[in-house]
Parts: sequence; C-alpha cells; structure tokens
Amino acid sequence: MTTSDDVERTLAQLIEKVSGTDPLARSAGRPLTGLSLRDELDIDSLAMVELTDEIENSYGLTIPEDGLHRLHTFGDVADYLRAVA
Amino acid sequence: MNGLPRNDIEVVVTGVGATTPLGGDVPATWEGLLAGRGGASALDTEWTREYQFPVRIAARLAVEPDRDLDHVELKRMDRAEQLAVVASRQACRDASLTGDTVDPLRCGVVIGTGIGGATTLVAQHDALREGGLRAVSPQLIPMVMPNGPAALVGLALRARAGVHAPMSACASGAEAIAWAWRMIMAGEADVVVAGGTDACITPAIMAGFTRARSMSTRNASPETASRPFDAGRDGFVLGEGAGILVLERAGFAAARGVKAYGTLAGVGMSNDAHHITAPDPDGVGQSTAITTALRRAGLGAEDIGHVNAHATSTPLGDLTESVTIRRVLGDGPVVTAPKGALGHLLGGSGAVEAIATVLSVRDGLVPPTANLDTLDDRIGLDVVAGEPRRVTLTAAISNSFGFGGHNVTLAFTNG
Repeated sequence: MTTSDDVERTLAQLIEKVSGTDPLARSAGRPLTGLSLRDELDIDSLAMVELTDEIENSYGLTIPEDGLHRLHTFGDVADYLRAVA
Repeated sequence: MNGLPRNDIEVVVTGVGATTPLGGDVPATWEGLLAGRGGASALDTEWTREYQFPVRIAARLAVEPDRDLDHVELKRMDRAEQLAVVASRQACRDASLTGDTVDPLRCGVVIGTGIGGATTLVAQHDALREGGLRAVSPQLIPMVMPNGPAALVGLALRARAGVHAPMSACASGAEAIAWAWRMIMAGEADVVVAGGTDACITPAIMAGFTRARSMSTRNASPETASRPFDAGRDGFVLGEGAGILVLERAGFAAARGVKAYGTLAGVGMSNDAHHITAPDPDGVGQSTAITTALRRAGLGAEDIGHVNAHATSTPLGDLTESVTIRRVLGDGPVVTAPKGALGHLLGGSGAVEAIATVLSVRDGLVPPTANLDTLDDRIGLDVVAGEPRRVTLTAAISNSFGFGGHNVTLAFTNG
C-alpha cells in the first residue's frame, strides 16, 4: 500500500517518529485510512499529545487542546489535516 | 499467605545484566573489576566551567544506551530507565527468560533507584521556563516517577505478581534484591527480576553532593580518585549504571533446566536511626543487617570467606564499615571494594556489586580494590589490592548502605 497524497505521507512519517510504528509497514496492503491509531499504530493518549506537537511544527498550525483526541483512525487525522492545513 | 519466609524454598540467581562505567554488559564489567581498572574520567562540561565546580570527575557509562534502544525508547525513557531496561534485557536473555517462561501471575519485578529521573526533571523544568507549557513532554511523569524503571521492565515481562520500587538511596539496588528474595520465599512469585539503576551526572545533583562535600576533588587524576580504604581517600566519585538479576525459586529453575550462578541464601535489612546522612559510628545497624542475613542463610561468621564492601571512598564511611566487618566477621574474610573501579552508581551500585559477589563465589576469584595503594592503618581488614586473589569460597556477603540510615546485606552461597 502506498500513501495517496502528501498529507498521508507526512502523517505516516510523523507517526513513525512518535511511536516507532511505521503505518506503511503496519498496513500490510490494507488502506492506511482504516488503521486504528491506538490499537495498530501505538498512539496512546500521551503519544497523541506528541503527535499533535509534531503536526503543529510540521504544518505551522495551532491545534485546539482537544483537537485530535476524538479521532480514532489514520484516516480521521488525515481528513482533519486536509480540512485545516 | 502469611508473608513469612518458608524454609523449604531456595532462591537462585539465573541471569545477570549490567551496564556500567567499566562496560556495557556483565562480562566487560567483570573484566574491568578483575583488572582493577578505574572507570572514572574528567568531567569537563559547560556547566562545570560556568559554575566553577570543585569536582570535575565522574564515572560515565562505557557504552551509551543508544546501542540497544530505538529512538522512541530513548525519547520516552529517562536515562535511569534506559539503563534498567538495557540491563534487564541482558539478564533475561542470560536466564533464557522469555514471554512464556513463567505465568505472569508468578513473575515479579523489583527495581530501586536512589535519585531516579532527576536529569529529565531538571531538563523539562528548563524547557518550561524557556519554551512554556507546550515545550514540556507529555511523557514527563512516567519519565521522572521513581517506580518508572520497575514499571517499564514489568510491562515488558507482563509481570503481574507485583512490581515494586524500593527507595533507600545508595542501598536501593540491594534492597530491591532483598525484597525479591522475600517475594519468592513468601511464595508470591517463582521469578523476580530485580536490581537497581541511577543516572544523574547532572548539574543539580552534582551540586548537591558537592555542597555536602561528599565527593573526591582529585581532579588531576580522575581514574584514581575513587580509592576505598586507601589512606589518601577524599570522597566518592559519582557514577551511573544499572545492574539486574533474575532470581528464581530453585525448584522452578531446575524444572526448566537453567543454570544457576549461585544461591541468594539470605538477606538482612536494618536502619541506623541515627542521622540522615552520617553512618552510626557504632555500626549497630550495619551489624544487624549482616547478622540477620547470616541467620536467615543458616551461616556462621566463619562461613563468610569474602565481603564485597559498600566502601564508597569517604573517610568516615569506609572506616565505620571496616570496624563493623571486623567486629561481626573477624579479620578472616577477603574484602574488596568495587567502587574503586566503578565509582558510586548510587541506586545501581548494590545490584552491580551483588552480581560481582555472585561471580566471586562462583569463580573463587576476588577482584582487587582499584586504587588502593596504601591501606589506611585504621582499616583492620584483609583488603585485596593490586591483583585479583584466588580464594575457595562457599559463601560471601555484599553490603550496601544509603543516606537515611539504610543498611542491606545480601548473603550468597555457591550451593
């Protein structure tokens, strides 16, 4: 499976940086969008804070405190980024 | 479960791991001890210069943990946690302890620390002051909590029989081993991974020990600055490191066919109740720790052929311990003080020195006390200097004492 656009490519790199789990390797051919942040990408609640920081630094954004915490999948975050970035 | 030790259980050591100023594992550390090699070196940093530290010596790790840990582990763990994880992996490999070796409900972890996550705490406080709230890592709390090293190792092992983190300053590593022994003797676990860790060669901690005038200022010759029992000793050398042992109920180890380095035959713990930092000059608490360990091990003073001393290279501490050893055990035991080579690993020291004691008993070989050139004439003990000494040993003890009046003695046999 390859990433479909720059947002997914960047997000995959940031997740690997934060949790050490590479979404591309983890997807094993499935669409990245369905990967569970917590169960498949090792993004627990503390890692979500780190991921938020990394996204803010990469995109020059300020994400509200609870911005990403309601999101559950790789695709949720990618959609969020496409909407705000 | 009444918590009282059962006399039909024996506790054996089946795995050892360490990362120290002498080497990145136990074989390298043991080789350094036998060679009497000083692990300290000059500490020349921006902050030692800026604050004009009178102490510019430290015993830093021989091998950085980034050899064994990935970037996420390094980022999420305080350095003391990193060292505990590295040493634990070594010990578990050595003991052939894998995820399915033991029922998680019968597996425990006890890892102590004297200082813990001070390096992270200070760095994150600086980050807060300089960059505001969002500059602080969300991982800060698990990085600085003193039970962090034990918890991380417990997670990796899925240890559900109990994960504990005793804190008794420089006796923490030994106390952890003592509590592990108690867990197994009480029937609470079959396997307990135990030891100690510390890594705080950092400005605030160095400043504290400096202001307390505890450390050597032999800056011109760092590798010879730590010199326990020597007439010219002038304080300890701060080091960093971790030691971890896999302790098992002997029957469990035998059933799975693993080798045993030796037996942890008994432990003794006491407190001086005398002063927050100074040892009781009468050595009453230290004596109690030794005699309790011997009684629990079923050993007499005449059985103890070797003492691995706590001796940190401070004028008062070394003298007090020597008086205690002589009073309780006589002048027969062959004594060594590994901090001459290792420096003082604080919470890590008791565990690394327990490993050295186990190896001495197994191999009948006592390392020299590094840098012991002229024995203080008030030290009435047979302290090994210069070369390792061959001794036929059936039993030995390792002493560890800590600020707060904590005294711990571990008694090992080759049975």
